[in-house]
Amino acid sequence: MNLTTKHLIVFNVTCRVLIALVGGYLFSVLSAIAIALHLPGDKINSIITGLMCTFIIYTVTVIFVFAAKTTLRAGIGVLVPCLLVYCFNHYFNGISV
Amino acid sequence: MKPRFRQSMGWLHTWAGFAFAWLLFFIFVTGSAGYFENEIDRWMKPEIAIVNKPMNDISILTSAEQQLTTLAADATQWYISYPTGRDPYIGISWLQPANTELGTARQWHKKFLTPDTDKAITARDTSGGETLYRLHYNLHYVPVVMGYLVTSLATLFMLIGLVTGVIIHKKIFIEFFTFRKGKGLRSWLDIHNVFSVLPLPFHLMITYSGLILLMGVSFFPVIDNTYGASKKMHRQFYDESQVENKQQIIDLNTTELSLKAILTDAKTRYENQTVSYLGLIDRNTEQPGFEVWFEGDEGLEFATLMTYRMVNGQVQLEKSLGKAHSAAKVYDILEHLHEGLFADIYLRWLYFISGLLGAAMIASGMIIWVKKRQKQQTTFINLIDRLNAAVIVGLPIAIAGYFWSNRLLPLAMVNRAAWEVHSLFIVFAACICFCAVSSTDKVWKSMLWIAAVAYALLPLGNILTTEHSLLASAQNSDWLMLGFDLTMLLFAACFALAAVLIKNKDNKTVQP
Repeated sequence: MNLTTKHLIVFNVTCRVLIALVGGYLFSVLSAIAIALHLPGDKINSIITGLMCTFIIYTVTVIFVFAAKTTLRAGIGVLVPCLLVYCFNHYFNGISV
Repeated sequence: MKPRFRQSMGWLHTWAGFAFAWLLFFIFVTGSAGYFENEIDRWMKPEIAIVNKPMNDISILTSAEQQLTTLAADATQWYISYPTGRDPYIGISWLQPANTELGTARQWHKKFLTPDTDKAITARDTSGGETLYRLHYNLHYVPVVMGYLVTSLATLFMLIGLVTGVIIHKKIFIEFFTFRKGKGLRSWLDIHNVFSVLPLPFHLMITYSGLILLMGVSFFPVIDNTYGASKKMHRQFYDESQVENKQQIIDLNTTELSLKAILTDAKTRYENQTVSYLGLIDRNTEQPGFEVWFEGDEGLEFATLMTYRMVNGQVQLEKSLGKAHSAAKVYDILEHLHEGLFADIYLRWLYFISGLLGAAMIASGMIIWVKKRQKQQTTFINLIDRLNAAVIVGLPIAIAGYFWSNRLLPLAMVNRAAWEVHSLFIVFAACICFCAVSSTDKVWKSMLWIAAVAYALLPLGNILTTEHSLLASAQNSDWLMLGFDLTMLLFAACFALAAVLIKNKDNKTVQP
């Protein structure tokens, strides 16, 4: 293994860790807000349901990021759903984050 | 990451586990100790006189009230704790308001009553079981929120480790029944499977519920979005999701409430329930509140509270009804499952053992990590191996050090309780130093022997520093004291067994 491939691996792993942790957090917060805003019924109920789902969404996102074929795909695969959920929240109710 | 899905998951399992393994081990061990919080507390307060015969509720109240009147006449709150299975003693506590003349701050005081002579005893200044169990989510030396966030992140990695662990095992249940002895790495993988698969439901439950217990802190933006970003706004969210209270006016035929009157009334309302606390809040005000707490050992709800107050010459009774919302109820159930407060002695042991199996799962995972890389013989791998010994065996030694400090520190010492916790971390640090300097071949064996000796001598230390010998505890039917001492001997035996089984060269251990 020469130095460049080693560097490439380190770079890829660092990118994926960042996408998984930061992107995963962002996506789970946005999804939880979507659930909190749009689940019918009581407001408190929806917020707690949203919060309880966050960790499942987070875990699944992390698994997806590390299962994706390339780092670029992993990045797009997290970014696009984030944008979609953000627009969805924004369009319907307005969002303060 | 890797060409195949399962390989990627194997990579993620290895490194997600590695990243927080030591912290997770710490969380699992201290958290498991927390299931015996009250029992540890009793051992760390040897001055307490236990109640080993049935006592009349009213006579307990009379002597407690008498003590409180002399000791705490100007206190704003009084509490009387009744003897229960896990806390077999009478305790009184009161909140002393701040005194500007004497320059003293608002402070809680606690004393214990002797059942026969009506004397009030002060227990030694100790951090007790509570501080030990709180370590598993506040990490003691860091700011509270930071502790919550770090433990939450570690727990998330645990959840990822569990899910990926399930994914990478094709034949999870067949592998559970497989154990290949004396095969080095293969045997360790089998041990890791046994520790993981059998209590997997427990591991998943404890990890997920641990995460959601702190979700308001770790996922605060979700609450911010509806309630706004401030502590005050969050308070509003918690208040709204809190218990709903039901108020009713009852006919008690009295113009002045007293603890005795409400105790009698509560006992007729709920004949089969055991009283765990009586409280008198807002004393010295126009409208004092009288509280009765029942020990709820049925179902997942752990306590029921009733508050009596005089309102316009009538008696008002307020009952807590639990959470109002269905999601909040699910949250409540998960919280109670995590804390296991409803568990009786057998289930409590199962909780404790499952928790230790979780710790053993993490420990065996770390040992496998080293074993797979041992051929490389690098300084880094060697260091991780030593640190493994320092954490996996050093943490139990540090906890033994915590118990020892409770018996050995001078009783009159300033900040004694704080120094007990410092002792835990000083011993922990000493273990790390010891592992850093001792030879790699012997480090595991020496650590295990140190642990065995530290635990084996605890009951002896108890005899020498207090009047609680094993025999005396048995004669007194002081089951908690006896149980604690015997458990320490059991731990010592486990560590000694592990030390005997381990091979010097091939640092092979059995987790207790």
